[in-house]
Amino acid sequence: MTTIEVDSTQELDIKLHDQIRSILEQKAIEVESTAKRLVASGGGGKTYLKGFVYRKGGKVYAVPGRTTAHTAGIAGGPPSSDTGRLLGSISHSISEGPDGLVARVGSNVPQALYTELGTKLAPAHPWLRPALFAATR
Amino acid sequence: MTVIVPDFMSDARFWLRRQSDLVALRGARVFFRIPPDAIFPLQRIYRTGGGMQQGGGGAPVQDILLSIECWGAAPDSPGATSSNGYDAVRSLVAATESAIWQLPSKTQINPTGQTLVVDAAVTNSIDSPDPDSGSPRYVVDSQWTVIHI
Repeated sequence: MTTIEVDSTQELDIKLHDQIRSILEQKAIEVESTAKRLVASGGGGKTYLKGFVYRKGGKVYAVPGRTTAHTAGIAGGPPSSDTGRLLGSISHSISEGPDGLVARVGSNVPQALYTELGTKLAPAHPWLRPALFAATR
Repeated sequence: MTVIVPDFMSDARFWLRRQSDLVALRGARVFFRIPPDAIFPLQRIYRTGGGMQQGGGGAPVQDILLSIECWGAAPDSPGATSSNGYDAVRSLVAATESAIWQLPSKTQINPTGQTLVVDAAVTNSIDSPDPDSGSPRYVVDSQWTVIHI
């Protein structure tokens, strides 16, 4: 239970606002942590050896300079971290919008959307929606 | 004791393929993976998350996040017509959301009648055209609670 001591309604407003912001931030951190855990735990799919190829629009490309093997995630499961770029980009923010406090959790790298929703050729490897779902259970 | 959790994805596909409003828009084209020679519009489903409820009784209860993608033909693709593009996808999204919201509690959704839907709700709809092909695509996220009897 949370106890708030106040002397005026204005002070109550401020303290409630701070309290709600704190709870919202805790939830956002929880979602961010779960999302990062999911991305870090992905794997179990096909393994690509050194100099592996990737597909875009049905075409196959070699990746020069690739020095390590990569095991992809299972279709429908979380993505498998390779370079750590997606994992490292997941973050959260709290802002004051016109409708009140807003928490955002996500990533700003292009592959975030590709992995989360998949493409016509590649299955989705959701990592954000399961994290959000887990936080609301 | 081994608990075999029923395959909800197959149950959901079975149910989606029998919704007359949806059949009128995309036939029985509901897939787990889009076939190479697919005719649009179509739907692709996949499970996003969820799992067994803890501490349940004898019948397994699952909370499931199911994504239902609605796909149309890419504007510049050979099979593109005026009736299978973005507008068709929008109609499919509306009909899908409607079918889920109108799903009565305790509906049996699989052929053997062993999967009962306790609750189903649309949680989100995302307009996300395919970055590879440019095909119009909407992702309808839904949350289901089902009991297996």
